[in-house]
Amino acid sequence: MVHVRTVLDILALVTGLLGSAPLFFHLNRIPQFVFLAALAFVIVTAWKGVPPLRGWRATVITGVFFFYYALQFSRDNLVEPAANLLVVLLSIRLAGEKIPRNYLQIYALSLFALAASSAFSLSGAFLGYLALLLLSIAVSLVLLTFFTVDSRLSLTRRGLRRVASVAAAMPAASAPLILLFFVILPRPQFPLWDFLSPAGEKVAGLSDRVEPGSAASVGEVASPVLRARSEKLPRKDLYWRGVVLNTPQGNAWIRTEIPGREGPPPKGVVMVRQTVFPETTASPWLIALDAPWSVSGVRSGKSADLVFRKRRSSGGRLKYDTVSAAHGVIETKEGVDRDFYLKLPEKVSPRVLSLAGSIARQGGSDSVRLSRLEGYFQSAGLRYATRDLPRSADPLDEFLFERKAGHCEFFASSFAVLLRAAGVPSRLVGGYYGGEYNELGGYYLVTESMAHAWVEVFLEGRGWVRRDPSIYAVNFSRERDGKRRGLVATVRLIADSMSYYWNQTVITYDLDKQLRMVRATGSALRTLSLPSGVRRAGIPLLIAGLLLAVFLVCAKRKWGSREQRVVRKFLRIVGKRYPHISISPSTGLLELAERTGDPRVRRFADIRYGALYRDRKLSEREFSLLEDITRAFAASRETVRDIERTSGTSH
Amino acid sequence: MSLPKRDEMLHVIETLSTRYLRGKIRAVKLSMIALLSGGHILLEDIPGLGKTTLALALSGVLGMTFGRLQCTSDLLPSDITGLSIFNREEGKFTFLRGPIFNNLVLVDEINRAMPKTQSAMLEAMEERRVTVEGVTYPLPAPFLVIATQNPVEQVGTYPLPESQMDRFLIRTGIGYPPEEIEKTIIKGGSIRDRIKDLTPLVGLSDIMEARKAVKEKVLLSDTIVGYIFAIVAATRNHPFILTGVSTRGGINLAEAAQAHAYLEGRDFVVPEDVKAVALPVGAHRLILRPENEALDKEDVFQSVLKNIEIPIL
Repeated sequence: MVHVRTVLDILALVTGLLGSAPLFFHLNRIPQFVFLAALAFVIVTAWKGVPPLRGWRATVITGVFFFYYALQFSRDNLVEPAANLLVVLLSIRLAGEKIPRNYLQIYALSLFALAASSAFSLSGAFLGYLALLLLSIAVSLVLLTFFTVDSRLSLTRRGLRRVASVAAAMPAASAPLILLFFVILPRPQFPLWDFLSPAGEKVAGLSDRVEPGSAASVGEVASPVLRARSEKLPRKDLYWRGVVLNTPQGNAWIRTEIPGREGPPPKGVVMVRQTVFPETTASPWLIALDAPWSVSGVRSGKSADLVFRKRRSSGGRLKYDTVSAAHGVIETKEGVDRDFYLKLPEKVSPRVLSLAGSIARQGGSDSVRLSRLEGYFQSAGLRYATRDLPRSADPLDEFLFERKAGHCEFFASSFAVLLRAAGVPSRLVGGYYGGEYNELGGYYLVTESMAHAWVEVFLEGRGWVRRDPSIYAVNFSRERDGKRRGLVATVRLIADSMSYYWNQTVITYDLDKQLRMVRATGSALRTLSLPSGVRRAGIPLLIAGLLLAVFLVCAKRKWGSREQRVVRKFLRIVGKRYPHISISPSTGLLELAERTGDPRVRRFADIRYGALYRDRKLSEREFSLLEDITRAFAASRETVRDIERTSGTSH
Repeated sequence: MSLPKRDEMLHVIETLSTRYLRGKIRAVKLSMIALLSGGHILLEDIPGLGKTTLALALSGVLGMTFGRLQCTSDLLPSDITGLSIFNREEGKFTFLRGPIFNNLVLVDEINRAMPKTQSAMLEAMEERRVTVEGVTYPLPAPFLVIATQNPVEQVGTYPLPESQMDRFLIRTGIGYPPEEIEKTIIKGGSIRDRIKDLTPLVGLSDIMEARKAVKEKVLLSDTIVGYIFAIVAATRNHPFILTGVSTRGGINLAEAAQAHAYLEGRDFVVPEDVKAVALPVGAHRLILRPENEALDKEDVFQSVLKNIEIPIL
């Protein structure tokens, strides 16, 4: 006889060990010590029969550790304190006295601890630990149900084996299903929280073409463009570079690929590292904080003017890591093709040309001319507007000298045209400006409404210098949208961070990755360091072993044949009908017939024995006869003769 | 169901147990089982319960020749087997057959004979032949020994060693008849005289044919063999038992079960057949541990049986 409590204690210990063993060497010294001490304590108390840690002592220790680790929590340091705390809590639970709830806590903590270990290292062994842990927990849970009913229950070894084997069959049976579902279950390809964002009128934010004057007004849409996990940056640096437009064409600016070599990354400048999660878009440009020097994590092509273009438009979501120098200057190794960057639109109004001429005539270097133009913009009284825009044949002229109101495209393209006319190489950059920092998730949210255009000016000796003429608008404020800090804004903030995590953990985790992970797990298992002989034969042996185990369990359970089922059912019914007759496994059917004196039992026994002890299977007719007898026996007090009549047998 | 000669055998049992040996149906049936499976039977009971009558009646009704040995401590092997006596007229030794040369031999109080005599007797039972002075004489067939012993009297006895007990297919008691029957028996007086006038109901050839049918017509399925083995194996691992049932015991159990099935009119053995004969066939073969010797072997064996699952699924 074995006490269920003893078995549960041992299993709890095993579960705790399985859960924390893979985590153990990633822990700090204190939890390591606490865990080992708890193990020793458990063993000693069990050995000597000393009462376990109980009541307020355990609570106090738990509280102390909890506060200690709670203080260490922060967004950057999340996993380590959590893992340490988990193991400490587990240790205290193991050492403490155990009521059923405590056992459940041990199982949960062990699972969490194992999960936490995957944050440190994920090897093939994890799968092994997980399988063992699930097995141990399944058996424990079944035993726990016994324990809750009668805490002093003892089972025979045989009974215990039966319970354990049934319990172990559950995870064994569900494991293939888990694997199957993991691979085949589709994952949604859209953000969870989309319904919270306002429905968008379709307005392009960033396009390949900047054409001021093509529309009377610009709609602003707040649909997200990208989220970038990043540290918080000064707002003046939040230029998100999309595409460089270097060639005027009519009233528009378009992009022409230019040859040339990229310069070296700047030295002595703090590089900003970000992880960008863009929303799906048709645009091929990879947007990154200005000026991006490298983009990794996605196949892309890099131009000399630091424009990154997706190589292959992948339907799924992606994320990429960027490294940017946010100081607003792109150093170049050699000079630029001045003629190319001085090319003017076919028709430039005389007023613009004379303005540029007046700047150029005063002479001076490119930078002097630039500051002169800036001076002009500052004093011109231009306004930033998105409605009632210039729409004439020459919108730039209208913007500069008549309406004096326009949006960033007007500012940028007139600035660039004036610079070029004054002999200073310049180009337009399309991208986004600004970004809402989400303190909750630690990322910037950039929406379509933040689409922006600015100018880069080539200054000899410095390189391409970023200039945003829109800041000279009289109504410009760095906080363009002001601070929206109402309840709605807070809800939106929270919803957006949810959306962010959803994208990050669920959506960017697609079938490709699932398969890759399955493969990786496979290769991890292959490279698992086992003795060489075992490794070679390991996988087939493992599979064969599993199959054999399943087969044995099935055979033992004797689900098998319908004959057995009908006999079992019959015995159950006889037991109910004749409650004073004890039916044990050593009771034969004929013996039962004699003791009950029931002709139906006799008939059943004759049929069953006639087949069984002649070493043959029941024939169809015999089987249906058995079923009829059973059914009739269960339903009514019909005599066996009636059954025979309905079955058409003659006697 | 056509089992040859079964009706005749049942008729014998019925006749004996209703008319001559009332209240002894179990003993009669077991004797028939022993006869049909070619074994011998040891009746262990106090005197005066009709052991001899049983043997006489059996021999009479089966048309078998009958021999009787009353064992004493000075009984010699040659008293059983017979001996050569010099025949003066012919001038040579002639072999005078002993009482063992009969179809049915009643060996009364076998535990009173010396071990030497006992073993000569048991050897003859096992081998079914007798070798005297270098010449081997076969014993008649069918050959059935009914031995009796008194379990109560211990003075001046040579208890059969367990190894010899193993040679008996069946050991059983007779027991007192039920009250009513005993009263009529008392009233009716001894039936010895009537038994003398018994006319055989069957012939020896019938018995041989029935034996053949038991051996050949009654199927012993693998499942039953497994069940028998489970019983045998369980006796070997029982905490009270020093030595369990031997392989010969297993064979005998199967044979007796076949005979039982035959009498029940089945051409296959079921677990109930095995259970019915298990105690008389198996119990006397057990050797209990010294500390448990006071226990009844049949009770021990019964407890073994109770823990063995019957393969009915």
